[in-house]
Amino acid sequence: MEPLTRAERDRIIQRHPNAAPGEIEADLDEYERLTSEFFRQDPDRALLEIDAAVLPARQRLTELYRKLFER
Amino acid sequence: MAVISNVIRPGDQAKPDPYTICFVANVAIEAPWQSRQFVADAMPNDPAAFDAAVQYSVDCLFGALPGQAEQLLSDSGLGSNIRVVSLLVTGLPVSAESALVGEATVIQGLAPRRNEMTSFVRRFNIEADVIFAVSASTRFERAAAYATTDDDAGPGVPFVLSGRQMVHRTRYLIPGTVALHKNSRSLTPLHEFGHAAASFTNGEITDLYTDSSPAVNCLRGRPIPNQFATLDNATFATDRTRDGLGYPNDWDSYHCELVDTQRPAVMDNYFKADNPLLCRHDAITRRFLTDRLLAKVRR
Repeated sequence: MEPLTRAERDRIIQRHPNAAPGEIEADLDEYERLTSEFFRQDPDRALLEIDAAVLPARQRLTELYRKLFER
Repeated sequence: MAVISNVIRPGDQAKPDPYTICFVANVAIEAPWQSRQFVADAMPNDPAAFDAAVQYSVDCLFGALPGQAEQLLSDSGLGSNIRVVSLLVTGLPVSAESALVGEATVIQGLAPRRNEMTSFVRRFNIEADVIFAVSASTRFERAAAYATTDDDAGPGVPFVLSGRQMVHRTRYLIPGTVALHKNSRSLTPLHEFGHAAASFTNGEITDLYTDSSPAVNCLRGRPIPNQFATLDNATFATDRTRDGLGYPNDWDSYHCELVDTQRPAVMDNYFKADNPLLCRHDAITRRFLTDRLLAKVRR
């Protein structure tokens, strides 16, 4: 997965002026980790065998997406 | 329907199935990804932009960008054996079959539709080990890749990674796939190729810019040991300082020694380098990809 650029991170951080210092940076770090890991799973195998194992990570990814990009 | 297929690098013309990288202009986009809803992608209607994206990507893969340091495909003698083709088809309807990428909202990026990519290029008699679908999405530009699904029942060249027996399989069930935007620049094509050319079952190459789970190029644990791994008869040291970027305190992952200790590795955050084109792969990624590609070009 392509890393986010500094400019992209800054743009997202600026959307959250009321966040605690470092909060959005930390969320972005976790978001980048989860997006990267998302593509580590063989998608065909995941459907059959390991969906349960990756489900919590995907739920967390969705939570972070909503916080960072929808609010 | 009009089909424009170009051979950009002929590869090993003595072989019926040389190792092949295909760049295909994406016809339709699944928007959003996994929704079964499809819209047109403007890429096939802009052949000049497609050609420019392909040329940049090929130069990036083969180390031909001005001042580019990483020459993996050239140094190892692999370059002359690798076939590169492009495919642009106009006049096709928007459909599930012609949608080779999805707009993945949660990811904020493009996602490969790898089975569709494989089937699509086969319709035009192209067998490719790695497929880049190039999109002109107006929503997302962030690229993503899936590793290759190897044919683990097929032939290969055995190797041992830190005591674990694996095989550089020469055949695939599903090729490595990349969803790439036409505006992708910097080292993004080379970075994504690192993922796509690797294997889900015989060694993954992962992102190093985040606290990743273990892969060929990434291990986890603290304290960081001096030795990273062994690959066949070679021993690799760790990168104790993460190319000057430093490991964040809350990370458990660590990386292999660098070829260029002054800059991030290609699989790390190359955007943070003084000049991304000077970034190199780390030592084990370089060796692993070279061995894997050599096995494939010799099939």
